[in-house]
Amino acid sequence: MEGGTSPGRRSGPARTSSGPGRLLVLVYGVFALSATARAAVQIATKFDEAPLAYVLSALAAVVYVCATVGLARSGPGARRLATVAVTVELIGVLVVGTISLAQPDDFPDATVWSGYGEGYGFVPLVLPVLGLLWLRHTRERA
Amino acid sequence: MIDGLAYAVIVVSLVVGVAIIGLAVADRRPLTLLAYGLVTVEAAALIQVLVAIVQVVRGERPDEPATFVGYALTSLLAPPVGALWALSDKSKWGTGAAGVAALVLSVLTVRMLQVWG
Repeated sequence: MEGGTSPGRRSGPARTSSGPGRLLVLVYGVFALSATARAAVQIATKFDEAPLAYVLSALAAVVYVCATVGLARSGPGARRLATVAVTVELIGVLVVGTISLAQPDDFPDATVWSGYGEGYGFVPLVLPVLGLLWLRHTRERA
Repeated sequence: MIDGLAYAVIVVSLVVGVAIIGLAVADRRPLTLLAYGLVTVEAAALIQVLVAIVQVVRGERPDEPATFVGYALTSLLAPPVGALWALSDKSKWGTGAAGVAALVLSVLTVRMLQVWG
């Protein structure tokens, strides 16, 4: 964080947590919370059943937490964190979604990203696209 | 869990959530009405968790205890925290996000029913 408040801040990029961003961060927050809880339960109680799926669950949880924090906070560092997290999220849901359909044996238990997030109404697939569009939209207002 | 109570909680959170989103679409922000709606949702979540605690004390057990406890705690925390955070944005998007926070309880209740068994 840079020290002091700069009066020229108004000309900077728009806050990613305002307006539509408020709704986006809320949905990200819900996913961060539920993915973290789910991964914690899976790893604590039955890690041996499907180690790969549960490690991916934990990765997804970290990605959602980073995206939520990055979008909710303002400043270039937060924007960078959000951009990286949302990009990883999009790649993750596409790769894991594809593998889970091609090699279902590797995924005896579902992760958030299995079947492109079909267990969650495909929200995990739509969310990163909206996230990237929103990050671009708020940057263009600079 | 009691099925009838769970369905009532789902209906209450759906109605309140959709109503708040409707207000947001109409660009209205009646704070007193929003507070009543959101408190109703939180009361529904609280009643549901208290009933589940009574059932557990009387010897019933959820099929997936750890997951159920996670959802139960989330159902108490997520709607109010989400709604307060949402309403701190003064735009209609903030109002709409508070409606989504109410809808979260209906999703969580469906999942609680599933993991209860």
